[in-house]
Amino acid sequence: MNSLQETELGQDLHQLVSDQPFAPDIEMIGQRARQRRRRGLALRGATAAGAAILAAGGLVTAFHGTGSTTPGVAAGRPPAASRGPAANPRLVTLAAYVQASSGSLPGDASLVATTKTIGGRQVETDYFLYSDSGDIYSAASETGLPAAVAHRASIADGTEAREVAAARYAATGDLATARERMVNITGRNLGLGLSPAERQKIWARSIAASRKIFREKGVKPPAGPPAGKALAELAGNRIWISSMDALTAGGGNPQVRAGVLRLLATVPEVTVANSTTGGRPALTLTAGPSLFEGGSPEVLRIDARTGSPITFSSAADGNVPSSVQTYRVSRVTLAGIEAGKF
Amino acid sequence: MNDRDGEFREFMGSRASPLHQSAYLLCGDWHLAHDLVQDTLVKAYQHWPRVRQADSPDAYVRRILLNEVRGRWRRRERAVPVARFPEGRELTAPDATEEIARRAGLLQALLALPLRQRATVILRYLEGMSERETAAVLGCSEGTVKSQSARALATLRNFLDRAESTL
Repeated sequence: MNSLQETELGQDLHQLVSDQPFAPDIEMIGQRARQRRRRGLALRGATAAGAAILAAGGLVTAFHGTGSTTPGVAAGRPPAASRGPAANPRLVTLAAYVQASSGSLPGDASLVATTKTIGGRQVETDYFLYSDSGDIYSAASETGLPAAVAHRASIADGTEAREVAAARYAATGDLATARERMVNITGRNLGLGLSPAERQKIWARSIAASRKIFREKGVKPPAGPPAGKALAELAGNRIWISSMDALTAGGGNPQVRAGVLRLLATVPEVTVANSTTGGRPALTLTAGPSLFEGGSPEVLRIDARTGSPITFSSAADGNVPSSVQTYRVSRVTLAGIEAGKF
Repeated sequence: MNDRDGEFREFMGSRASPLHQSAYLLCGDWHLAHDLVQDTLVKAYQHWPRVRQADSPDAYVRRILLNEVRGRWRRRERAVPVARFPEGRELTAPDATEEIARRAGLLQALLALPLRQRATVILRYLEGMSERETAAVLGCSEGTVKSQSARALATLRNFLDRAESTL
């Protein structure tokens, strides 16, 4: 490659982005920043409803489209998805074992090295440092972390902290409540645990907030939130995804691992099988295609004795190649990392 | 409007559009790019006292953007939407001339790169950053930037034949 080609690449990239004006919504940015600060100062895992959902800015994945939905269930009863099915006994047993073996935690943060392999080829390793107080630092190399900590360049927006908190609650708390907390992390637009009237109100608010996008896409918004099997699968999807986050962010903490296991045990689309990894007994948890609208399943492999994550993988799906993430989790101190001690 | 707001508006006025362009090349969707930049700027505003004191506020905010992209994919790539919009048109090149088709191919190839290689290409060749500046944003060594650039450019070579033909 020579500099002429690099110059031409630069010109091509500029051409690709040249005709899209952008004017940020300054007022909205200020409002959301202030709202986040207030929320951060208020209470963790707050259950304030609609305003928080809309402020979360999740319209891209949360409120799109034309899919069929039906208004909620019988008046006054929360949707059945919040109660969840009977729990998978193997995961519950392991959760109890992990919970019982938890003691005091060394350090004040978890260092997680995530090596990603795409299409069979190792492409990158990212380093994430999750402090027990909720901060997250990341770098493309281990040596980049001290500067990130020194500059207090946390990338946390509170989501992972709420996921970890929900998992910790799930370790010993009521499972139906734990499911609601985990599902509602990314917005309460599914309305688990709420009455149909409250669900409809939240749905209407979220649709109104996304009106501009619906208009641009020429799509009529669904009349009401999802219900029945569709709702159960959406809840299962959120529990799976947020549990993967919690396991990454809080995987160094046995309580978090126990809580994640109890939560995943309530998702019937998650199956469990014995396996081994590097000679160690492992459990393979497979989230079935129905959790991903028929897409390829996802597989989490955990240590069969500790529940610690080992790998997370997804098969090739259409144009998306297969990927495997391998985790290496260790407990550290922030001060030590800042001083360059790994 | 207080000082904080004034400073931030000034910063945003000059940086929002380039951030939006980078976000698009990182994710391949203008709507998502809009969301990513809004979220990035919310965080920058939220932590503005820290951002403005950074060695390079610009690099700091770009790092936030990259982490937003990384976080979205890590957290949301398999999140099932409650309902869907029809497919977007951003990645197609209808009625394309050869040049447009070549650029569309380049975009597809860019989006197929691993995130760090893609970010390296965008920072180096769209933003015009030096290897040192790019390394600061990515939190890696200059050597890593060099190797990531070389790998990415080797992959994109097929879409840069315009340059080869002029040699």
